[in-house]
Amino acid sequence: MTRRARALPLAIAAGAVLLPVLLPHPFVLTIATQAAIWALLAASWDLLSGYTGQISFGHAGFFALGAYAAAAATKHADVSPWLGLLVGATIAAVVGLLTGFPALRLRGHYLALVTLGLAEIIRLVAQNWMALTGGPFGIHDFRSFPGLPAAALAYRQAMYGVVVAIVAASIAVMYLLCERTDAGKAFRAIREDEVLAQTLGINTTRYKLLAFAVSSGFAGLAGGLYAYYVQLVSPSVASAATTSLVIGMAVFGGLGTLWGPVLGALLLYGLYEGLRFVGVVYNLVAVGLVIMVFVIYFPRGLAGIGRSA
Amino acid sequence: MLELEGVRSGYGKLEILQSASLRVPDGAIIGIIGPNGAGKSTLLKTAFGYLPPFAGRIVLDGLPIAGRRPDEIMRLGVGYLAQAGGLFAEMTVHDNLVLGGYTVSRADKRHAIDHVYTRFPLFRDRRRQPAGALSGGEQRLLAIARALIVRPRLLLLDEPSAALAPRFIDEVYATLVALNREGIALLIVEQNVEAILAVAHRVFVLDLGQNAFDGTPAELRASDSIRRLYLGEDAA
Amino acid sequence: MLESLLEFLIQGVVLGGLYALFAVGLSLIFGVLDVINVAHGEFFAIGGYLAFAAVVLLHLPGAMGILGAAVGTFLLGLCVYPLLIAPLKRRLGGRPQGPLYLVLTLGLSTFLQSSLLAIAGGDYLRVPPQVSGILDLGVTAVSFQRLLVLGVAALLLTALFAFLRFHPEGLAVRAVSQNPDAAQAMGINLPRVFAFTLALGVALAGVGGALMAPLFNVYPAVGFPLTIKAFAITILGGMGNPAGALVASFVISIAESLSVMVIPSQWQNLIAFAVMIVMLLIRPRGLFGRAVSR
Repeated sequence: MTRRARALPLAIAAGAVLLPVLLPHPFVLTIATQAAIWALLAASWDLLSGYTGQISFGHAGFFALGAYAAAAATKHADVSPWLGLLVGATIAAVVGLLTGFPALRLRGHYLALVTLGLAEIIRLVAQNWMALTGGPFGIHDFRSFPGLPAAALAYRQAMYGVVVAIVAASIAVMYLLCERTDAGKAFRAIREDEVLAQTLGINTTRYKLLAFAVSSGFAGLAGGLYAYYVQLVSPSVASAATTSLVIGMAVFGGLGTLWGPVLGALLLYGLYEGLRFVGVVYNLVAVGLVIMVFVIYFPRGLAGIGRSA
Repeated sequence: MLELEGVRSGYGKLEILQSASLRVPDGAIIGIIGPNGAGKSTLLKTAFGYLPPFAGRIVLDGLPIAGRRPDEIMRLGVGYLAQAGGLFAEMTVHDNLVLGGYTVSRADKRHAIDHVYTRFPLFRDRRRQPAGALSGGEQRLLAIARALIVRPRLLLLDEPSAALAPRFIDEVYATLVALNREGIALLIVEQNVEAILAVAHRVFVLDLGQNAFDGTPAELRASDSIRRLYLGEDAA
Repeated sequence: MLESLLEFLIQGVVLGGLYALFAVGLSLIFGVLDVINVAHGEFFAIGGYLAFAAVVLLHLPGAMGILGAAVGTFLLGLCVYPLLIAPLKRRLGGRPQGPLYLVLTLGLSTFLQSSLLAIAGGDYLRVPPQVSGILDLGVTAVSFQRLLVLGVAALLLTALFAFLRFHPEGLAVRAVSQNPDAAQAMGINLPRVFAFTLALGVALAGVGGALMAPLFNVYPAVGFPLTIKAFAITILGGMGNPAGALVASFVISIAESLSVMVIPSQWQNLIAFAVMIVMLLIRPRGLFGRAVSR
């Protein structure tokens, strides 16, 4: 990336780090923390769908898997939340890897539909399997990260710090994977022309499965973070609204750039919550509009503005 | 009748045709030949509206048609025969003909289809069969017959001899010549140089997206360089 | 045992009418435009709201509610192709990019659903049944309202298939779905066929919404679960094959209904998705679809 292009994401990163210091208002911290979680989810989606071109309509499912696995582990098996995050991410990654196998043979909208069906199955299981998931009421009453200060504002600041640190580290890992390794080159080759990639000797199977596993794993991690932050996991985390928001964020920010969806998530979530705060119920309307307008007219999203098409 | 001037065209950002010009006088047979990738098919598709031109003029009987949709150009009296897959393979022979008459009245349609069945009895016999069940040559003739239902004044043909056995090539070209005698102008893109040189009034040679040469078949055969480059060493 | 079987069978058939109204329109839209309409369920919801507006707000008879829903969703559907799909098509050129159209219709779905929420609120609106009373068949009882759904579905779908089979414009629609380039060469106006087909498809869902309003109540998200299930049904029947979607609708509805005999009822909805995933794995083209190459 050019120096100018690099300035924006760095500015955002700096802003993220400084926020709890500059604006220690509980509401700001709440929005910022959740925005960070969405940023991780959006980035994970972009790795699979934007970079590798395997458009997934079911990331809400992996998110939910991570959230439920983490919450259940801590509540029923008294697993430490730090470990719980790992549990959530791993389970999501495994399911993602398994999803990758049938995806090898499917393209385009068929792949999108299979992932959508999977997410819907996960949601139905979450809603109906009372014993495991608490049914419509979900899982609650589980502890969050140990060692955080007890005072309300300090707790929020510390939680924000934890979440942002984990999110930033995760995004950095994904970024390195996509931009600095052969795997990243393979991802992009697969997106551009899979048949050509195969003839060039790229093991498309291996890299597709890798993309699925990494993407879903980080989505599950985001789910775990969500679980420990909100301390309630209900079936709605696996809803289509989640998928819709994530896709909207990625399209808004710019597919296939990783930092684009992160920016898109921060801005769109800020807009979404900000409008709600003002009392307007049109927040999701705006998301829908953004998706449509950007898909048609600004395919490269914010990342593409200022750059030639 | 049809005039293309300085046409630039291609797919998306890929420019295939740099600058092509040609004229099809009323009632003439005009051929387009040239090496693969020269832009011959692209030119035909651009003329018929499948591809919007990036630049240049396309004029039909004095009416500018550049950028119009294929169905609009068709209604001006132009027919288009694709190189492959121009028929509705899953539909019956009869339905294909009915679709050929989409733009004309019911009575005209019935009359025209009866005329086709008279001229080509094989289609009457097999009218309930799916068009895809016909042989390659029969499908080519069906496509031509279908295009005639609306009585076009100009037919654009993209490699009418492609993948056909020599016997069928003769039959297709005999039909085309007969149509031309009835007054229909033909613009034919061909890979089979001999077939087109035998019937064309004038031939345009396209290379690398541009005009390379144009003249009567005799002029083409007479020119040594053209002969060697485009007609093959041993072309008579 | 046989009585139970018969009872569930009948209930399944009745449910199949609704599924068919939904899935056939969805499949038709895919077959002709090559677009999967994620927003299909929102037209179902809009149909319900139009019926509510006609019957409860304007005090018109029930039949007007159904008619209003049909006309309203048809007109709204006419806007979708020129405003949304055509511009995307123009930008993409000829390159097939199925998932992007999916994203577009997902955006439309979000927009419509949340617009309904903004305009009408989230309350469950009640609509009186167009017909009341229950038919007692001995083994089971079916409300006349549900029979109306089945009846109207049968009527509309018969008309649709007759149109596609016999009417010259129906032939044109089939031509576009099989070979759009050749269809244009025949003088068929593609944008007009696209817009019309999409409107027709969503109008079927709109009528379904008006008919089901007394049974489901009317709220913004009422159509979405049906949409996802309809994806499963159209995959089973073969994407792009309306007749296949018709058959698959009843296969799924009867399977769901009969399944209650062996699994707890709340797991009914899983059947459709399980079937979809299995189909996508072993035979993506569905029971009756064309071979899937890409």
